Amino acid sequence: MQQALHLSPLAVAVTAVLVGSLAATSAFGDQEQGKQPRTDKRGQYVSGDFHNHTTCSDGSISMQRVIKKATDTSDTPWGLDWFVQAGHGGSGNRNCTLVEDATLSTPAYPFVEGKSPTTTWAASIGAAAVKGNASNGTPLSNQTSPSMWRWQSIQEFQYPLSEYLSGQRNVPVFMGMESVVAGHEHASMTVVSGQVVLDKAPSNTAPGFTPAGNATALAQWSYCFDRNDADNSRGGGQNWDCSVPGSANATDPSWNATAAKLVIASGTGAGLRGHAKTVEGVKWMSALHGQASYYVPAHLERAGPFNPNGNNGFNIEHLRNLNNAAPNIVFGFETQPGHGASENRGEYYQNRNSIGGTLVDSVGGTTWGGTGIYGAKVGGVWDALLGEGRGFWFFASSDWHNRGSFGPDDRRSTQDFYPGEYQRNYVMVKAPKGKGQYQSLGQLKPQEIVDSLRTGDNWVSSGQLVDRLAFVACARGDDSEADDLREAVVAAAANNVAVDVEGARCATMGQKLLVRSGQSVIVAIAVRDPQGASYAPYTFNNPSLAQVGIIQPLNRPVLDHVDVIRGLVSGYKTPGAADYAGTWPDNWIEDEDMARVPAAAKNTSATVIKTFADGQWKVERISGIRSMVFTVPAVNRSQYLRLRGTNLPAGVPYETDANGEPMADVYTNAGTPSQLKIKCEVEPTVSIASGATYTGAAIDGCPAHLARYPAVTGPKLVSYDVAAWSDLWFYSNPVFIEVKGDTLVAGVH
Amino acid sequence: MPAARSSWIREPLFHFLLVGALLFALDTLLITRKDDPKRIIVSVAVDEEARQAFTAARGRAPNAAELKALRQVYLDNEVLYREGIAMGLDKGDTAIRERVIFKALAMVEAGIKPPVQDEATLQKWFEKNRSRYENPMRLTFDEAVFAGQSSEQAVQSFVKALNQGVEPDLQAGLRVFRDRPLDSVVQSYGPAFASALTALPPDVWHAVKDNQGWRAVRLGTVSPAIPADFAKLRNVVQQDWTDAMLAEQRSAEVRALAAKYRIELPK
Repeated sequence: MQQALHLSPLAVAVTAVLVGSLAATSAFGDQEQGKQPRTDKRGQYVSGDFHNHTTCSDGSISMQRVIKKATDTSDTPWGLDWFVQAGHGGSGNRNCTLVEDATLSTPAYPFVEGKSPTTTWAASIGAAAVKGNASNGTPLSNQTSPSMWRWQSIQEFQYPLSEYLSGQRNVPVFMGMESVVAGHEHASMTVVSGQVVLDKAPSNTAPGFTPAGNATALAQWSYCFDRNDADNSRGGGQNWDCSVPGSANATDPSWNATAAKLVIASGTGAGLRGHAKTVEGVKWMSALHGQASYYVPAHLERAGPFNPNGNNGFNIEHLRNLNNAAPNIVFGFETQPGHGASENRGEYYQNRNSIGGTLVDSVGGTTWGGTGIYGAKVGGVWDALLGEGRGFWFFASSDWHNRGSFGPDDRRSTQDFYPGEYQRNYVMVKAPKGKGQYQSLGQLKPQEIVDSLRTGDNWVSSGQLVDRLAFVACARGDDSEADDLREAVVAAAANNVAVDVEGARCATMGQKLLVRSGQSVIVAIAVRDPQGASYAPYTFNNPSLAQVGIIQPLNRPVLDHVDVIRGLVSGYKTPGAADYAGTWPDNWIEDEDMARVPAAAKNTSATVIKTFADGQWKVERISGIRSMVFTVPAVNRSQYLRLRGTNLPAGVPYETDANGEPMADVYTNAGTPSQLKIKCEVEPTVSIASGATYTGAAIDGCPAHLARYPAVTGPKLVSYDVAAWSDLWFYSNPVFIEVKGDTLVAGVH
Repeated sequence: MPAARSSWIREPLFHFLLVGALLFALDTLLITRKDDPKRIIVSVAVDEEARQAFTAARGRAPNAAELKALRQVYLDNEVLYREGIAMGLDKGDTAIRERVIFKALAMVEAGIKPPVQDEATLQKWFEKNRSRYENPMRLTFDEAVFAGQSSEQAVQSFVKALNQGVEPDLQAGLRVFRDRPLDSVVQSYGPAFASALTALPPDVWHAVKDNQGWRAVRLGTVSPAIPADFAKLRNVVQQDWTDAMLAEQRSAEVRALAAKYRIELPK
């Protein structure tokens, strides 16, 4: 979303000096002539979400409704390209496959008068059909209104519906789960073995649907490894055995022979035992569904640091343990949480968690520009992992549950955004050779989405800040390469195709470029700042930017700048070594001193090496595209480059600091109203009646639901969804450069 | 009528008890039964609201069965509401508390009269609040971002190279700040940096220290603060003054209400 470009003469002059001198003084490395990259039309980035809820767990709407909201392109215009429905592991007593009204009716799943997605399983399928045992070992079917284990819910009800809807909507829709993690809080995961996506609408004319595929593998994992699954029925007679090939699970004191799974007792050491079970869980996936699974810790800073005696957060050593055990499965984290419109963004806040009777913050205190501290802090946990040469990627989620104070059709929110409405994961998919680009989304299969998540050729954007990205690094040949490369990335971003790096001595996100010591590397980036309005319903000016005199409608954000972050790769840390494990310090907002961060959890070499903004990037003729090309001269250390960008320049009070780093979101979190700082003073010309549903996109003044301090009589302050739409970021995954003779980038292929 | 009987009928105490009994009976008949906590009345208005909501959502009026189902939803909700109130679930709920405060404040505001404006008072108030209306000093400047440790020596060398038109190494790029209000510069970089920046000769790179270290900056333009002109802003000032006076009256009313409470502060 951009406005007319206004370059000051000074900016133009400085750019001329910088760029001109760069070209004049850059030394060429040991040159090799190689194939120049062009675009690969088989590839395209597709956007999706893999963490969201329905009434089958603690969400507020049906499967049908959330999938329609997420993938529709008319009623809700944000239309995702792929969708993984992933509610909590454990159990739930509501039937989310029943629809709210006739508008969501389908032949196989019609609207039933008097029933809704909040109807219990007992009142819909009957208690007798609920399988498995309660935690005391008695059959659930003996209960009047039993909760259903997630394994049965997925296997028998949710999966068939997801398959049916994939065909109905011609969009890859499949099942995952937000596991309640033994030893920790939550993780987004799936096993897609057996799951099928239909490429045409099923021909059903009557209620009932028999799926072509199944989600039995995912259901079994849920039974075996989810912390909240206390069933011992082995899948209600399916004779499931949760032992992991190669592990002596049966000799583990936690092994329960009746349940045929590890059952973790609470109390002292529960966190440690739970973590060990979770490592077994990812080993199971790796051994039995090695290419068909992923396991991504979710909002992993929220529950505080790791608690050896309970179930709280993840420290860096737990991410290392999981990645070491199953690098093809645990290949990233959801460090940009959902709940973006919540009173505490991401539901992260200070003193949120009680560990051993002591209150501790979510790690980092709050989110930072909507991202958890592990991903947001340059030189922090993510850079520490990348600095080992691990393939460990950045993801975001909606974590959709409900709209807070508003109904599900309202465009305002004090809690969650719909999948795709605010945050998106863009992942690269490539059609098989010789087949051209995918012609319809329905051709994409679950396995391809999982593969594309694993590659790391993916990136995340919030608030429609950017919707296209091409990012490559190439071993430098001659002068002409800069223009060729710029042309390639611009074409890729303009047409949403891949840059053809195969055989071109180039690498893109999630890949590594091999170079000789002393060789120069040329980097090319193209982003698209989409034209028109975003999906924000607010047309008044961004109150955060108004503080620094920038007038910009909230629903027309403009990419302000792009940072290039570089870190050196120094190899994997050894388990048990002093620099393998370490807890991010508590009270981070009060004292942001990196000297307090243990060596294990930081990479002191990581820093912003380039910032591109108006005057430094090239504004291409193609609408919204900005391109950037620069050289990293004489590379002699293995390293990585990654990108981030935002609508906020440096030095925006309470949003970005003097170096352009995101500040703690404590100043826009309504959970602590006295800390709110940014006034929202534009009065709307039309007020919305209390209790009315607002479905438009033209709220021209600060809405009534914003927090006030003092309450009621104080001024409206930037908070809830307005805070989220004011503060937008994108993050790319890294391109690695491996220097021959220096540290091996072992985790990346 | 026997004398003894007629005498107690004339007793004031008898009259008092009789009137009391009548009032009690009347209250039971007219008021108590109406407010019976166990009685739920589904009014015509409830049905009408349900009809409107249904018609808006489905494009047709509900049939009898659907209306019955909607009534049931209302009844379920009313039962839950009453049970919730009985259980005290409204207590300690910030949203409910703020809603009640809002409604009570609306009652207070209903009794407040708009202040009578007076030109001299307006002007006096404007002078007292002049800073709100002044266009602050604005700075346009560039920062050539230095990658790595920003020691004074390193940044000075960087600045020297920039002024010579030579970039010494891979550097981070340029940040362009246009027309930044002075107070936002002070807030982000500190008063010493803002003061030093303002005093720089334009169009030349300099090393300037801020809260965190040394920065390579170049001043573009300084737009001086523009004093506020009452004549041009009179209508805006009038509205702000009115709002301020109303707020003062409102606070005074609330303080008056507070007089009947005994307030205990933390020790």
